[in-house]
Amino acid sequence: MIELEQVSFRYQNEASHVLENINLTIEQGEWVGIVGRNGSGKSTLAKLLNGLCLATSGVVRVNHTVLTDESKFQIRNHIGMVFQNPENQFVGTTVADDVAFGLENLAVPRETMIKRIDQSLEQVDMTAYKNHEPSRLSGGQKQRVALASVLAMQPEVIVLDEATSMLDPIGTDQVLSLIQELHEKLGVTVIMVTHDLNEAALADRVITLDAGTVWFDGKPRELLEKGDQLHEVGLEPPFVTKVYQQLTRQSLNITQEPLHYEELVDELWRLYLKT
Amino acid sequence: MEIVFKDVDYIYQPNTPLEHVALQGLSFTIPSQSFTAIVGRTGSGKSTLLQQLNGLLQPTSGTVTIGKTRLPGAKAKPLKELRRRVGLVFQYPEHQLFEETVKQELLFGPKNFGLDLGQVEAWLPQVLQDVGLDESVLERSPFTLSGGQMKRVALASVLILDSEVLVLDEPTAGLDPVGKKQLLQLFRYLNEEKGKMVVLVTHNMEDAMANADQLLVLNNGCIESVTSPKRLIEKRDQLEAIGLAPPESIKFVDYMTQTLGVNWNEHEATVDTVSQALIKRIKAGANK
Repeated sequence: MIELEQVSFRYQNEASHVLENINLTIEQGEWVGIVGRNGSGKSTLAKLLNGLCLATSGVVRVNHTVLTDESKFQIRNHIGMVFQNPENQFVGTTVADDVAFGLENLAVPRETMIKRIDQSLEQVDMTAYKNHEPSRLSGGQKQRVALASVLAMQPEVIVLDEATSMLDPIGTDQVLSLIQELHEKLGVTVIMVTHDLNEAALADRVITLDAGTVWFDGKPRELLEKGDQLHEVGLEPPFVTKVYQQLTRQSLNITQEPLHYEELVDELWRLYLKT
Repeated sequence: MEIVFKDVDYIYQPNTPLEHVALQGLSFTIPSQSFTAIVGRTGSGKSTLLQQLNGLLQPTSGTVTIGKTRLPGAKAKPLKELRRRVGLVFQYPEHQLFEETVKQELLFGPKNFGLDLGQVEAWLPQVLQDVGLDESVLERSPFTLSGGQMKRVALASVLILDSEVLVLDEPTAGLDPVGKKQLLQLFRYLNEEKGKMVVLVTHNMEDAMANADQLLVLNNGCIESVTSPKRLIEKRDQLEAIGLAPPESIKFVDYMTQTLGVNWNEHEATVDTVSQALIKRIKAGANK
């Protein structure tokens, strides 16, 4: 469980706050999307969760432990992070070395380590690349190795900071379905920073930040219901949301805000055309 | 200025065990003042290709002719001149930023190319405005900026050279949708009003189709096709076969024609055309 109580953050020597008075509780096993325009504080929020940034005021608690300069190393064992550019995250000369790095830091015994490396590479379907050089992999493969490094630590929480924004559609699908699987099978808490509302719609809950404060916190469907208001916070309603709005304006009755075009089309079939 | 590729191969570390053929037999023309998108999966050779556009990499065999400069074989001076005329914005802005302040960063190129600094400084506010940055960033270190802001600084540092050709590698990845729209508008403006050639490298078919007049599809280091957005939509099965996804609007249309038997003969899939087609279908259904 992650709790933020009255959390504010500002960078040293900067006058204005990046985040201001954030109060949030994220339960174990939740999937939370974080959206908002550039500079709204999304990445900072993500970094506050594992002590890459420490709150200027207020309290961050992970599993009831207050996050401080001292406790952050302990807490990082529970929270894994994957960033936008996987290259910034590579340290090893082979894929296996890279996955081993975090475990070495934890002084995990060698045998357990080997087991965990194999297991996590298996999970991301990268076993065949175990001895390859990370820098020569494709973007999607790199990001899966980054995920394997995080998985090897067996974290309870995975934080993804725009982890798919550099990937092509296939790479994105690979990473997202992997996350879905981890979430469902292992009950891993997923916190996903993204600009893509279609991606955020996969979450159970979406938090929208605007200028360092929480503008919205609720179900993806409720966020999409805001329609054109989304522009105010730098977001673009998905194509399906715009079509849905157009249809309701033309007085078609559709029971719920669609998350996906297939959902809308199927609904229209059920409501109007099925005989 | 026109760019012509003729039988271009590019091989990384040739004649070593690590030899890797990145580009193979590329021949195509990018007309001057055009808006061309180069699309393809990660690893298809896009980034290698774009580095040939200003001589950062030169063909292993074949030739690239950019205006009057022909590669390989150009001397240092025309090569430097080429780099001023062809501005390149990298995928990861942090790879191209290095100065202590944003202002120094922006003045580095003009200084290096011997431009009139007084003039450049007078022009700074306009460039910042174009890319959507506040003037207050000028005194900040580029490394304290957010990813989106860094991206804009990298773009500004190229725009300030007033190059004839802009080569942009995934310029909008990581930007919020509103910022993304603004930048795409800016690229279109620079192309249409200022006559600049824009080469957009992306795996986002939505952006490519909506903005480019010519699309160059790369697959495994080879040209799959050189075509217009409209033509490419007609061949979308091929697109999916090489790992590119058609825009959401097109997938929507495909799904509704399959599932609902909607009669679709519009040229463009917009919110309006799609909604109208759906309404028409529903009305017809009620009468049946």
